[in-house]
Amino acid sequence: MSKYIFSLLLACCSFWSQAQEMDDDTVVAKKFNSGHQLRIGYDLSKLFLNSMSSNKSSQEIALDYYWKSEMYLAAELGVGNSNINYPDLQYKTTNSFIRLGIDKSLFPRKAAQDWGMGFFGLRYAVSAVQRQTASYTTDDGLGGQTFGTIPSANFSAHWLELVGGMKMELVKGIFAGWTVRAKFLLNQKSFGDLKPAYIAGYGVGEKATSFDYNFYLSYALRWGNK
Amino acid sequence: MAKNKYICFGMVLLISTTLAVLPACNTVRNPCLEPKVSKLNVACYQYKTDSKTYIDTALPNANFVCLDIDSANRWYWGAKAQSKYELVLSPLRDTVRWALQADSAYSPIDTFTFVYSRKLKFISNACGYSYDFELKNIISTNRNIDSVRIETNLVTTKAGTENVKIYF
Repeated sequence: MSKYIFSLLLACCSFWSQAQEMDDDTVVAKKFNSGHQLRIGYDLSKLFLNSMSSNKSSQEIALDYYWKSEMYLAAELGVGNSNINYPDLQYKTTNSFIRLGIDKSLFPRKAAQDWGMGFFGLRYAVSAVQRQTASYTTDDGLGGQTFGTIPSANFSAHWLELVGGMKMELVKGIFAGWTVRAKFLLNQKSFGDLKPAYIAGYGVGEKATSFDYNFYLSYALRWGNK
Repeated sequence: MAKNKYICFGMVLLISTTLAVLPACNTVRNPCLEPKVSKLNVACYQYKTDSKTYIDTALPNANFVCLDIDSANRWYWGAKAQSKYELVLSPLRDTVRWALQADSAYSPIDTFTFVYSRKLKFISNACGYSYDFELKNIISTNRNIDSVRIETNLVTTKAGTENVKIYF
């Protein structure tokens, strides 16, 4: 998997440098005060997903702040839970997570009011996961069953993400946008035997790679614009 | 503006894709595609003096029955021309007895007592838990068979492993 991550990072870096070159070539001579913008968004896609799933839910907010040179500092925070209630396996998990990273806009801003963006970026994410006591039933294949419990456990999950997406200003200060994510779990072994079926912010804890998307509705706070 | 058109196109594309894939995101348990029950694989051999080698030996009409697990009391009943057998061990006990009659028509019956330890194993969220076993010893009678030997002591769901060899 590390080879896979490395290839993706390499591709990302080359894309980044290409974008930088494009920026240099197409830079607009007109200078303007970039101003400050803090965008706060809520992930609407989770509302849909929560309503469609009876055994898991999550909520997520996203913040990004314009830093410089078409780059944004980004943070996403969220909470979630799952309730695994299969005939032979039952347990509950809760977790909270934070992702920190940077987004690079692919389109240079042409005016101080121009905040729409197509972007790609990187994230580092960490999550604190609590798993309650799990109970299980095994079947010996002959009609016999055994029952048992697995003690509760707390652990952390770490992963990296490559992200890409778009944000468009619908009306002044209100944005809609989507993000797609490729996620690479860094410490799956630390989960022990019983890997959580769902980690909010990541996905299926049994898989080392996960893909996800968000659909954010955001509000932008601006100051320092002239 | 070209940039806004580009963004609009991207958003429409994503929304339509999202609506298309949302029904697939409903979390139903994935099917369990792995075997859940560990099988003790037994193979029968016979020593050929002319070639001085052990060869696979199919038993003519075998009864291989479990004496301790009620539901396996006729596990193999009149199994014809078979040299390999898959037996089960009980996750509720540390020993299980099986009886083998190579030919139900006339051959004497041998019993095998498999002594083992159990290990709980998490397969996946789709499959849940299962037991692996570690064979410690086999105690057998020698009315018809010559000897019995543990070949691989770990009894798992992995296919193709020969755990026990019975020599005639």
